[in-house]
Amino acid sequence: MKHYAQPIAKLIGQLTKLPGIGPKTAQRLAFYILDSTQEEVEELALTIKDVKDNINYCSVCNNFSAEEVCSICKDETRDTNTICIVENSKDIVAMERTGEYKGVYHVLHGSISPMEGRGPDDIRLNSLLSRIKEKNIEEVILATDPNVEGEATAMYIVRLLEPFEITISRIAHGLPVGGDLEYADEVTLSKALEGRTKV
Amino acid sequence: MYLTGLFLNNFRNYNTLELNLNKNLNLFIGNNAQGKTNILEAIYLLSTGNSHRTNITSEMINWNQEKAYVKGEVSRKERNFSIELLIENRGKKAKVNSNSLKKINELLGYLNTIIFSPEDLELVKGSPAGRRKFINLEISQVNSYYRHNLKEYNKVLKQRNNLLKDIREKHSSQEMLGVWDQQLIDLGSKVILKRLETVEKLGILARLMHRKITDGSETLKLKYKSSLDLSNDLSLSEIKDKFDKKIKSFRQQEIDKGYSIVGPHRDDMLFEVNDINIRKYGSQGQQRTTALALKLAELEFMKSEIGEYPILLLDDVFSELDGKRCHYLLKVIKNKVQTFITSTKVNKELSKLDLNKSFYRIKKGTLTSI
Repeated sequence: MKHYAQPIAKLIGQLTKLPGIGPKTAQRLAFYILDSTQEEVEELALTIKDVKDNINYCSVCNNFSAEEVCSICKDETRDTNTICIVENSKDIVAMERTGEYKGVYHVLHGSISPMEGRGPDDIRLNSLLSRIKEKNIEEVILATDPNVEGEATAMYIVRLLEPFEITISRIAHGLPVGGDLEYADEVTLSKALEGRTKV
Repeated sequence: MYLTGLFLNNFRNYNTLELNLNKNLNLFIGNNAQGKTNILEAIYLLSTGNSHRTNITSEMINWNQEKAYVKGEVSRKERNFSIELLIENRGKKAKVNSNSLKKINELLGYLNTIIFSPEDLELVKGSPAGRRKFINLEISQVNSYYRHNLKEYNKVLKQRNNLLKDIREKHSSQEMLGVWDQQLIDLGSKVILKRLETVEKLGILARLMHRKITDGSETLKLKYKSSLDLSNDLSLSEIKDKFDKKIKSFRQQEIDKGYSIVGPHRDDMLFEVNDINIRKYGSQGQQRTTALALKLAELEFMKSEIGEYPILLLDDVFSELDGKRCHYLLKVIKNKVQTFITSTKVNKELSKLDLNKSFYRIKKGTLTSI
């Protein structure tokens, strides 16, 4: 870093902290910013600040939102009796891309992980419970990640919701669509076989 | 399957080494610390992505160099391909037929090897952890679903152990155990079931081998000793039931200890010769014969699972086996298993052997054909 002027070194240091950015990429980005016009740089800086200043959690589902209630929760055409539970806001984007899901969401912002000291109180389950108590929820779809932490979180929610009369389902994991069976790896195929459904 | 060629660059004490390999027997003779085992290590590395000697990658790179490179040309029944491995201080990268693999452990299964080193002679009397490692690697090489389940099981185990400590320190409540118990039981039961099946298959093969080595005077029995007190022929759901009951009855003990004491991570293998536990009461000779029988059983086991013999790596074990055992070993591998042997001297049994073979002398990282 000693070859850089101090402000450049500082910028590179900041950029390296971002996920997926190594020292080489950080250097490239820093020089790109230096080469940009004054307006462009100011707009970038403002946009970054703006995101932090104006984005909050939706008061209903905890999704990131610029307003009190997010656009999905506000949408009256959606089925508010079905809640899909996801770990992160990013997962909503993925689900929305399908265009198939018409219900609403609940974002936990994390999963249960004793190793990282994250218990049920550290993810947004209380707001989920109050939603279920107050509103007429009929179905809950568990779409937490298919790893051991996501599984544990899903199981915990199942237990938590036992006293309520609602349908609870877990999204399936298995084969990618459109591929040939022979190209599926053994683990995916075994999983798909275990989770086979009756026709 | 067999290796037709091996290329090393800056690997351990080799600058550059290019070898055309014999389809049957390759013997490396040399004094200690000349680089014999390094060749076997390189082959094992191509097979599993890990060294059998070290977990520290920098140890495998030649002094004053930044990276090492290992390449092997593999010939299997249906196809030929190459495996490449780039070893750097920060990690390893693998390629199969010039296509990069995402993770190093995806290598498992392309090239199957069985390694037999002096430590393996200790398998019978060594620690349970050593025997678990043996059985895990054995199944993982031929079954990627087992490998996956074992990996997930270990993750759950870690999380659960953390939670048990939290409960002991009153940072968390007992109710939280439920979600981890369920996963531990699901994954653990699958692991146990596969191990039971494998130990049974291996047991039959090892008994046959053992009988031949001992001229029929001794009968070897292999048993899977589970922390769940299992009987034979249980279905997956029966194992899950037992696991569930056991875990509940040990609840308080687990919390007091702060770690999980029930499950496949506490299991072991038992060896009996003529109904006597030879880990405790066997002679050194009996223990070694058992280890040898087990290794030879592995050969046949892999053949039955993947349809062809794996490659056998014998690291310095020839000097440890007596004439009769050497003789039997060579008879088994003759003309069907590609074998790599390191030794400090040419064994009498070896020089008598009438099979296609290549002998090399190794001195300070250079090879000469003899």
